[in-house]
Amino acid sequence: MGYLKTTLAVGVMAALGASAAAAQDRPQYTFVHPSNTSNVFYQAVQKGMMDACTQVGAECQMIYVQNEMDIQQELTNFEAAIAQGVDGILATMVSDDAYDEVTQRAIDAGIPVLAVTTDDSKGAAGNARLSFIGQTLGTAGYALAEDVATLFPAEGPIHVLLGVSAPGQNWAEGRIAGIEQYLTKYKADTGRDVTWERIDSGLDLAETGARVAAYVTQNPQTTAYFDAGFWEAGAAVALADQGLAPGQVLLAGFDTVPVALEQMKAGYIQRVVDQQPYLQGYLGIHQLDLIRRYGLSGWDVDTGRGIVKPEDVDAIMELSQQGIR
Amino acid sequence: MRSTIKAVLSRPEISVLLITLIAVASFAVIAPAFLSPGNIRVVLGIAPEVGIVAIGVAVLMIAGEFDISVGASFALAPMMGVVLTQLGLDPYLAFGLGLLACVAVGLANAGLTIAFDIPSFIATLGTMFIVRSIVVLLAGGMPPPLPDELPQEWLISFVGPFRASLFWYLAIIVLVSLLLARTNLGNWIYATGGDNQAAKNLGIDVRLVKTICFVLCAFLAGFAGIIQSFRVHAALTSLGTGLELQTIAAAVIGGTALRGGVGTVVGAVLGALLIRIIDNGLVLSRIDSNWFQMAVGALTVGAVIVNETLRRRARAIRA
Repeated sequence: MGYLKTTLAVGVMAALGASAAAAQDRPQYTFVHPSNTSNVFYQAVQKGMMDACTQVGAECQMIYVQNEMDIQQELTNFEAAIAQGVDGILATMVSDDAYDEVTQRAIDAGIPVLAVTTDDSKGAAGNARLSFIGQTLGTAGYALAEDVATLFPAEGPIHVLLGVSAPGQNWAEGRIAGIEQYLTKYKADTGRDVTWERIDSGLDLAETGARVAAYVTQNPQTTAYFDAGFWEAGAAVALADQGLAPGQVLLAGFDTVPVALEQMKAGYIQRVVDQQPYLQGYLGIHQLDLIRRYGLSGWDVDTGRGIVKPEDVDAIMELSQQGIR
Repeated sequence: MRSTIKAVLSRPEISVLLITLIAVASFAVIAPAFLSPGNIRVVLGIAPEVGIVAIGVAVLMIAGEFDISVGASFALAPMMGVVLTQLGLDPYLAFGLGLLACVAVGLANAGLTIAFDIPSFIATLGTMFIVRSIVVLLAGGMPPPLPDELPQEWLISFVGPFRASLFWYLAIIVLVSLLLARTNLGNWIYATGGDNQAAKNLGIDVRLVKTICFVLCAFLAGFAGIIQSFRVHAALTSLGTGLELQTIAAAVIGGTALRGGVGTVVGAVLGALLIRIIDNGLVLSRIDSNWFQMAVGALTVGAVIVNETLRRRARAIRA
């Protein structure tokens, strides 16, 4: 009996040792960002990341924070990854200054760092990260506004409501700035009476819906609503409740989550930008792995300014539910 | 006359009623559309979802405890209902099990708080993270679409200009008010929150009373979550995020004492309504996005200060 126990113990220890050795042989990549597990967006990024990790044989970890947009906790996780000596770090950088020092420290330690999803607004000039993989926020906002403008009524004044989902944060401000940039150009080019207003639209479907519906009740001349995230889906439900017909107020936003696609199918949302979160996680790992293997330099990838229209919904819906688009 | 004024102003819900009326009058002047039928429908569309949770939170606070996990329970019931329906279960059974899961959360909260004698604030903070994680696991990462076959009419269909959820809300207000005001359990809840040891000495089973309050709180949160997920046509893992603080604020604004033993359902309902009115009124007032949260915060604190001042003045009036 004693012999059996000893044999078993040795066997288990050998297996654990072999497993640890195998894990040590595999490159380790860590993804840090300031969102919690309730954020739908990062679930898709994680899926892309994990698929890529399987392909390159890496051991990967995506670290969520407990409270949404907790940059301090993200930075702590970033530092833990450096201390762990991982082979590469992907980081979402939602502030222009907060990530500068820690990124430089990682680069100095020989750990490649790529910005994924959101970058320093000054790009490579503002942070030592090797590249950015994600949506160029301003460009995406500009492209969305340009497309929605084709749906504006041919005559009369245009009044646009801009929902800054998280005032002061790069991702929301960057997208809305792009939209404002195009509206300024549109106004100058057409000479039409174009006005717009920004509200704090919030990060919750019900909250955003209530705020947008209230605004439209007070300002029935509103032509369109742009949301910095996917919460225009909440606005769609609230406006339908108010008895507005589909298209009476044009609705547009970012990210092809199922709830937004459903409202697009119902006719209430006209345009959505697909920033392809799956691709961000997927390409991030492949780029890190190529840098590690062959010493290649990083290269920027703009994953998303593709405009999704109602006719595209059926094709995208299934992939969206799988977390790929 | 003085004694009547004192009696009226001393009631926890009267001062919040006065503040709500002042807020309504002010916003009506600033924003002409504030009292339009359309805008009233906007406010009353979301009010039941927050208000139902606030009722449960207020009852638990009266009993002397907190529940920080209500936002997570709010997401748990609809997520479980949707996932189980997708697995082929009858929708009523699936959502019933979702509510049963919330009851289990309430029991767990009570068990942790009572059996281990740890502050409910900490115990429910822990369950908040655990339950939120369960919601994410249930969703499998991505939020599942709401099945078409869900029987939603009984909760969210329009009855005249208002949604059915408003009538469920009114029914819950009446039932829980009666429970607090007209039953032995109601008296025990006030006694337990007012002085736990004295209540024990009187022979009240304070453990049972608190357990019932924890369960009621989690159940109502789950029920409200189902209403919201049906209304917005989505069961997101982020549903109810931040709701715990909003509903505790509603209860406090409505006159519920943080130390327990004092409060009413109507007060919590008015507190929740005031928060919605402030939010709505500020949008209509076209507050710049960068100033919005500051304005909400300042008005909320202002409402509590006015509330406390009115009650202090009332207590100072000689009968």
